[in-house]
Amino acid sequence: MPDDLARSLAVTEMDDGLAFSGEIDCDSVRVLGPMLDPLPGDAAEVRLDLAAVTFIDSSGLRLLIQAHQRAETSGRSLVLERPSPSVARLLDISGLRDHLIIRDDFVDG
Amino acid sequence: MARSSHTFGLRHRLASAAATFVTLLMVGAVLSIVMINGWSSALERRRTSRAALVEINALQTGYGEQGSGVQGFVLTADRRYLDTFDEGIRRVGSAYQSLSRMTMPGERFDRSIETLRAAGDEWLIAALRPLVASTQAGELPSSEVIEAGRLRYEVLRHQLDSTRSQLDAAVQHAESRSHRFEQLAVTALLFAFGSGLVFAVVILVLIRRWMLDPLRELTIATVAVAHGEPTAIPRPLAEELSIVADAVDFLQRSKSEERDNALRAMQGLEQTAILALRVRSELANEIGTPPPGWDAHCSLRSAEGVVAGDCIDTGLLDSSTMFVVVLDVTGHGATAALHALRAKSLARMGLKSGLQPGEAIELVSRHQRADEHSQYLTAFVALVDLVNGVCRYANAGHPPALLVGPDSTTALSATGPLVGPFDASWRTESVQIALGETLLVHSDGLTEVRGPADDWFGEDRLRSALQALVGADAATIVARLEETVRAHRVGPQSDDVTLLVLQRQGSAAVLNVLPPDPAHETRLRQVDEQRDRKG
Repeated sequence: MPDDLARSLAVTEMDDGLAFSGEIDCDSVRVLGPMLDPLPGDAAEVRLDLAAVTFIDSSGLRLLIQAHQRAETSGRSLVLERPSPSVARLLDISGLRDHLIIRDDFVDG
Repeated sequence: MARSSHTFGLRHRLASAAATFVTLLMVGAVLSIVMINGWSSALERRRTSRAALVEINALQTGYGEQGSGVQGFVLTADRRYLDTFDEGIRRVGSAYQSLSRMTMPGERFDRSIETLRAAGDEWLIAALRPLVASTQAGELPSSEVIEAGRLRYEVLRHQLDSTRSQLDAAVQHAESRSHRFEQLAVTALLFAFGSGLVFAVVILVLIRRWMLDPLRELTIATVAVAHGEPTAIPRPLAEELSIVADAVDFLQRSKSEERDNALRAMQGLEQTAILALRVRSELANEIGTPPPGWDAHCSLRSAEGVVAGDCIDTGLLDSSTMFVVVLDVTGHGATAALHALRAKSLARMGLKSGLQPGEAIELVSRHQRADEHSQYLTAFVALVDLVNGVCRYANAGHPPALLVGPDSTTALSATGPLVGPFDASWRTESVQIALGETLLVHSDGLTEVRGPADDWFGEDRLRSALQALVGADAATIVARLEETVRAHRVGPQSDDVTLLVLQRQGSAAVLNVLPPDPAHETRLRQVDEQRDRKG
């Protein structure tokens, strides 16, 4: 994890993806953006574990949508795993559950 | 900047002036030395001549003693006269020794002295000594001897007079010469001093003309440039000062250019500010006089500057239908504001052309997707029947609008996703706004506010605050909600905050809160100031 990453967010590399812990806001998005562009790994399915995300705002949501688009464009898929209540709430409010790939059940890869 | 070719370096000017000054001084000094040497030489010659005269007088005395001594001895045979004779010989010898040590003023004097000495010696040897010898022998000197002695004495006396006359003339000449050299030396000194003084004055005048006056003019010009006053930069003749003038001229042109740029920037800022205020006005158009039986109030506070990514648009489609559009473009600031304005215009155009709220959002979405630079947005679009209170609405991923009655709160949640890179549709749903009920439409900036315990203001606090305001008019509700959220917030406002309150007035309203507080803005500022100090 870069040293200058926002204090409130931690990123852990995992198989075919990343696990976020903390808050995804406009500050952390500035650092997270390059980590998701290009998408990590070369697997067909890129996983983002959001179980430990305590807060996400509209800029974080925008980051996820852009990563989703990038995956579709490159023939891959972005899976949002185990969205935390905060993430799930924002996904519900924004009506994105039908437009993003969300997996509530965690499968250890 | 090219300097004129006729400029000469200040160093060369000063060096030339100094060389001339030194040359003049040296000429004056050399002349003075020559004159003083001549004066000294003349004085020495006069002194030598006078000393020689003294010795000539001593010779005359000595020769006189020799003659009178011999004459007395011959006449009286008294030997004491021989003492006078001997004294005369010593005096004459001493005088010649003194004369021999002197540097006589010319060889003719040396020859004259030698002639004099030869005459004296001949007189002594050929006349006096024979007279003494014959007298000592008891013989009377013959008349021939006496006549021969007299003739030799006449020669000697003539030579003495001649030598004295020459020395007198030499003394006169030396005095005249010394006087002339004295005058010349004084003149040379005065010339050297005078020319030095005059040239020093000339140098001072030139320094003033070449340096001081141009420097003063440059200083005045520099001060004028510093004060931004247009001024003609003087062009000094000296090359060094001409360089300074070039620098001042460059400074003036730079300052002028900077001033023009600053002026253009200021004008640009003014134009931008005017534009921003217009955009701001477009983003949150004021709700005019509410229709009879309705009350409405709105607020939009941007996170940066005066424009925001949030947008409020309300108005009447016809005499009985009011439209409401609340947008939140991702991000904030000028770029987001421009996207919000375009989306607002599209939504309004769609509604005025008869589209339902969901269809109006689809219209916005189509245009958004056609623009690769567009940003995502959430929207709440509604058409409110002012007669029966029926509200047809569509929610594109926007925070749920809240319909608050005396006993309940209903959330008008998303009827479709946010407007983004999705091929989606948005449902139009209906809800009844009953008498006394209040519809609150807000952006996420109202609830996503971090508190002192690192907690978010959240929807629950919003619902509670709203329930406590049931019965208050729309302006009071907006003001109190803002005040409550600000009091909760720690740190600066990080997102645009938008509120729109539409209230259907009726008997069901219960006035259980204070009337609108005209000083709420003051309190809001105080809350902000306290928080900023703590932060």
